[in-house]
Amino acid sequence: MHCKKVRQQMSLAVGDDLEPAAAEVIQQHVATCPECEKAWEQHRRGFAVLQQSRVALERTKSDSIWPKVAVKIQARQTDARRAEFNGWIAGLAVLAACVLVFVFSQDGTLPSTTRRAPHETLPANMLKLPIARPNQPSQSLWRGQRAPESLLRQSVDQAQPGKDDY
Amino acid sequence: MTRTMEQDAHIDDALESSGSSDARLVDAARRGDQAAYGELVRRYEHRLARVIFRFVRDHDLAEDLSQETFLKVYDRLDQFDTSRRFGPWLFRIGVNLTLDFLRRKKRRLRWSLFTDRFKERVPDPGVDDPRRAMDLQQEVHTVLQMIPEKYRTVLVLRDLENFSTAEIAAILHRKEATIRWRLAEARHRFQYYWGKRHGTAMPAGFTPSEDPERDHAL
Repeated sequence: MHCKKVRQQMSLAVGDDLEPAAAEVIQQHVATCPECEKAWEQHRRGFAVLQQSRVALERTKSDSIWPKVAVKIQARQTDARRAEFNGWIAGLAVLAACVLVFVFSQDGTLPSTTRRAPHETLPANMLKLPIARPNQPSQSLWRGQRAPESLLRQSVDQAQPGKDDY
Repeated sequence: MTRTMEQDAHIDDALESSGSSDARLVDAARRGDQAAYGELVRRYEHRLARVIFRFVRDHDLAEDLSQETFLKVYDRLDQFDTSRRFGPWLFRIGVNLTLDFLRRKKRRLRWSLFTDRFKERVPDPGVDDPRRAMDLQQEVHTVLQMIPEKYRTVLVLRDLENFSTAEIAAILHRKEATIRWRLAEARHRFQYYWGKRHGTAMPAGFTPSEDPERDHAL
């Protein structure tokens, strides 16, 4: 085997991470190649350093973190239930508000926000116009539509002061 | 008495093989049996804390991250495929959580270095160089920090925590061939930096697939 390939696999062989057959080939090569033998020794020393630095953490059964984890799980579940309950409360409040708005809007007791016709907000004598009735042409005056000529003339006549007014 | 890592591993294995299977405990925990989940926590907590400690080097922090891992696992129990092994899944979540924590910490450190760049730091002559006081573990940890995360993770799990390459593949969700390649690279790099810091001659013809000097730029 070529030296370059041997050295690539050497770092795996040093930790027994190669197949036995491949490890055997490396061992045979190292035994006959002084440069690769040096490299092998370096790798062995480096691996030994890592092995020496292994020290287990001292822990006893009383050190178990389960009681703390259990408390946190309980706290999370309580928080989740509370959040769910609060969500329901908020939802119900919104629903109740919607129902109230709907009911009052049906009764007509709430002030309408839509634009009203002048004859709905001003006295008829101030407008000097005929009172708008459903299905009458004057109803469309406030909507910017042109009124019939006869109606306009009638409105002007009514708005002009009579002789008795002076 | 200090237990060795091998003893702990045997204890973990014995715990794992005793009593109910992990899958059965997971099923019970999903149905709301907290005692079953407690049993799972007790089975794996020591090994998990030890693995996390290898990355963070702080016992209290390792315990906090272990707790966080078990909380996260509890939240995700429904996602666990009971036809697979529970251990690798748990360690995957724990290792990812730890690596995320370390990345955030690194970003914060970079930012603080950037904001403090005009403050001159003069070494106190009355205090010895802290490197002299470093024991073997600290020195190993220092060298490990020089290795890119993807290689370091494999090296820690294999050489410090004795997971098999198949287990590491399951934990990191990679192919075993990828893990073996990364392990080879990681050992090369560890050897390179260790030799550099301790003045030992590098093996002639050392040719990692990437230039280790670029590691800090990664």
